[in-house]
Amino acid sequence: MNWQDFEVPVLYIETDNLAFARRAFSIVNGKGKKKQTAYQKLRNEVNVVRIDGDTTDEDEVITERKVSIAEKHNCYPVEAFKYKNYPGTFSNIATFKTLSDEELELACGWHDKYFHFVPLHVSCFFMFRDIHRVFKSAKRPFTDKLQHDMASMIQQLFGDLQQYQESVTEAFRKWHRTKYEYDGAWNDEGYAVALLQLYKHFGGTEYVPASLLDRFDDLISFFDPAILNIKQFDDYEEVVRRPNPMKNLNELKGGIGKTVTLLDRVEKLEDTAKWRKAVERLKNEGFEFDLNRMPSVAQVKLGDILIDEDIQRTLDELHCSNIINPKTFDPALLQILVCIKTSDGKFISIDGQHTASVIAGLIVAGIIHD
Amino acid sequence: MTDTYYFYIVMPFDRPGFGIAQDIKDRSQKYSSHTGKLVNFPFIYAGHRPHAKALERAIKTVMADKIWVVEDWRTEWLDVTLSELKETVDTLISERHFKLKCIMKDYDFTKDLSNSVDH
Repeated sequence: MNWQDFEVPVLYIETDNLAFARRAFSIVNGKGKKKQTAYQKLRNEVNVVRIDGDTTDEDEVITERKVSIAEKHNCYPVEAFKYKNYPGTFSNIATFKTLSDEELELACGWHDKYFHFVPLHVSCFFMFRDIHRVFKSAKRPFTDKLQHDMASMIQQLFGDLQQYQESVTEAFRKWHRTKYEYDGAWNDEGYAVALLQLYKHFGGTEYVPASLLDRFDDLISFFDPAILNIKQFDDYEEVVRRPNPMKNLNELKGGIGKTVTLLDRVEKLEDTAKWRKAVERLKNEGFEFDLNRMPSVAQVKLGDILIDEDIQRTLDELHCSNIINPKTFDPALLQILVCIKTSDGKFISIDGQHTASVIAGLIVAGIIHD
Repeated sequence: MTDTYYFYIVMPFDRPGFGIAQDIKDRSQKYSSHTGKLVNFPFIYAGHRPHAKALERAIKTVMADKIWVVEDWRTEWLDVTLSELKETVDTLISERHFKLKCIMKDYDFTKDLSNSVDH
């Protein structure tokens, strides 16, 4: 098989205007493209396991198991803009994924036991991950008493973890400026270290490994005097547990099982003032929707596709190698190429050069054949 | 510097708002400067500073769908009655054990906070 004669689907726009191609490239590869969020990726991984029953991908199985641990403790990963005010929700998916099963049991279990009435603040993940790892290295138990005392401090001194986060980052900023005379970036290890330093400051008696106490020396003296002036924190007081709407709203519990027509989306747009204003602006500027400028689709020979190196990025060979990872590579998922078609019949690539290069490369390598 | 912090409910017109301040008199004067009249603070709470901040955030969370929205623009005011807001505040303080107490009703900066009492 000759790779030049192999035909691929191409979406193209007829124009001789290379400025258009350049601008189009930056739009399809940058600001004009809505990227998949971390939550959407997680949702797909979970749904592959839960809805499709497909457990062939180890990473997807691990993700689903972690989500199950969180759900067992009434904690729910959510999209940052959706449901984020409900108890137990969290949107920092990247940090969630860094925790082991055991660490998630601890973090989510603690949140559900003591702070079931608020969203799960990401500092909970950092604290329990760091504390668990140090206690494990020290081969000492992270006792229920210490976990209870931590909850008492958070509740009685700060109200909740979000307020603790505000207080500790403010203390850190002052500490860093005093010690190093410039504003340093926040260090997530500070969540666990500062809370346990405060614990000892208030006379806490449970064992805490020294390696969790001797970092950021003197950090706690930069906390708000309203906190430091308290002689002893009171014991945790129970908070009324109310039904959590997320039990029914959780979209990961087997998917939402809903398909809608575009009419649903149109109605949502028409309900939005920003959309109505944007439409009004188009009308006011006399914009005419030219149907002839809509893109066309054709089967084009790979040999007829040109790559303008002033428009497209240089070839990323590593990216091409990653595309053909046997675990994930599937011809059904190959991207449609986007080109402009010039008046002399040339197809100049705007998007998809890596896909085209991979196909041609696989033909040359004998992987794609008659 | 005093450790006392204030949480207030403010109602210059027909919608209530809320906020926190260390210097309640100064805050009251600023509201009055902006609106051109003595602005009434129907309820003032005082107590532990981090809890005042946590309470303010908690209200923003539990009343997120009650914010007065004008053409997608979320204002700093609530589309609820004063008594609805007061009830929410009191419930949150009670249920979450915030160390805050209602110390005065119908405050403006011409009044003396030292005359405050528990309500």
